[in-house]
Amino acid sequence: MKYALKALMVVLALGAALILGTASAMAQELPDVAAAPGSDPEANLPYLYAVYTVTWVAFFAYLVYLSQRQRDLRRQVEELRRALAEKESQQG
Amino acid sequence: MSTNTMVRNGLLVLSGAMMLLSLYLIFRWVPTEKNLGVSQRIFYFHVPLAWAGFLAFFFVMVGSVGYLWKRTDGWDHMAYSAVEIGVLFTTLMLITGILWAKPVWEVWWTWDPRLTTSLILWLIYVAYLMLRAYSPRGEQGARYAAVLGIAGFFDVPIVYLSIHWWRTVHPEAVVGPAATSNLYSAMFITLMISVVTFTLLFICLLLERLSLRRSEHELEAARDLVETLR
Repeated sequence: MKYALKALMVVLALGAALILGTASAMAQELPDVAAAPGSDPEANLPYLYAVYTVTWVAFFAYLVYLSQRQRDLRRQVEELRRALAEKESQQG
Repeated sequence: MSTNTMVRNGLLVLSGAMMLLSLYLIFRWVPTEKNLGVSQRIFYFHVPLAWAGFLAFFFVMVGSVGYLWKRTDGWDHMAYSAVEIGVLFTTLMLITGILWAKPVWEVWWTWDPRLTTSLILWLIYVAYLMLRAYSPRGEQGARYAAVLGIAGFFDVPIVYLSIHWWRTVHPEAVVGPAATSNLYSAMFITLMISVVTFTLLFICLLLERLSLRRSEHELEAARDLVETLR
């Protein structure tokens, strides 16, 4: 439960960062652009979005992986508990 | 709530807040570079990702030296956990570099010394993870991995200094001991805040992974105990 809460906090923070970052990038009028004559300063926006999307998706996937590992560990602890209880009941 | 948990939660909240601040600075505050256009904003993620990857591999080296010296599991847990996160950051550093190379150099990849040495660094630590996955559990596997963890770190200064040692198309360093040029102040501030943010994120992930690794180790020990009781 503790880990689930923490994972949720991280996911929320990262999600908020992703949404706010993307929203501000899309909403903004680029400040102080001093582009070379004839060049389009926004020409490479898809690459910029790709970088930020890939980074956040990767962090999110890693957090999901960690939380799955945590869940798996909990399941294994339960199995061990049951095995121990079985052993004790056989001895008793 | 234990002090340990409070520290971890506090760090998580702080890194989340710093991430929001970084994104604000990157997308709203810092001016657009006149030659590279908006693609230069990739720099504020690409460089901190590289920094966090190097930091992770430094932790691997320290953990590996500590393990070979003291032979206590704590050092090995630190090295193993840091490798996983270091590989994550280095993978992202390579991907963001590829996505930046295309609009700037008009190729996705070139066998430039900086790029090649970075790829070698990534391969070394992927090999570390494979070694841990396929080597026997316990001291032997940890020992082999520690040697690789130390040897692999020698590539970090090579990656950093490669732009000085060989002819390269990669831009020169703008921060650190090998820096040869200065950044515009707003860009420098944004970069530094982004570096701090990714360092905090690295520490958060490391603490989480470390805690998970300890639990895995305790579970393995408990399972061995149950097996001996059977």
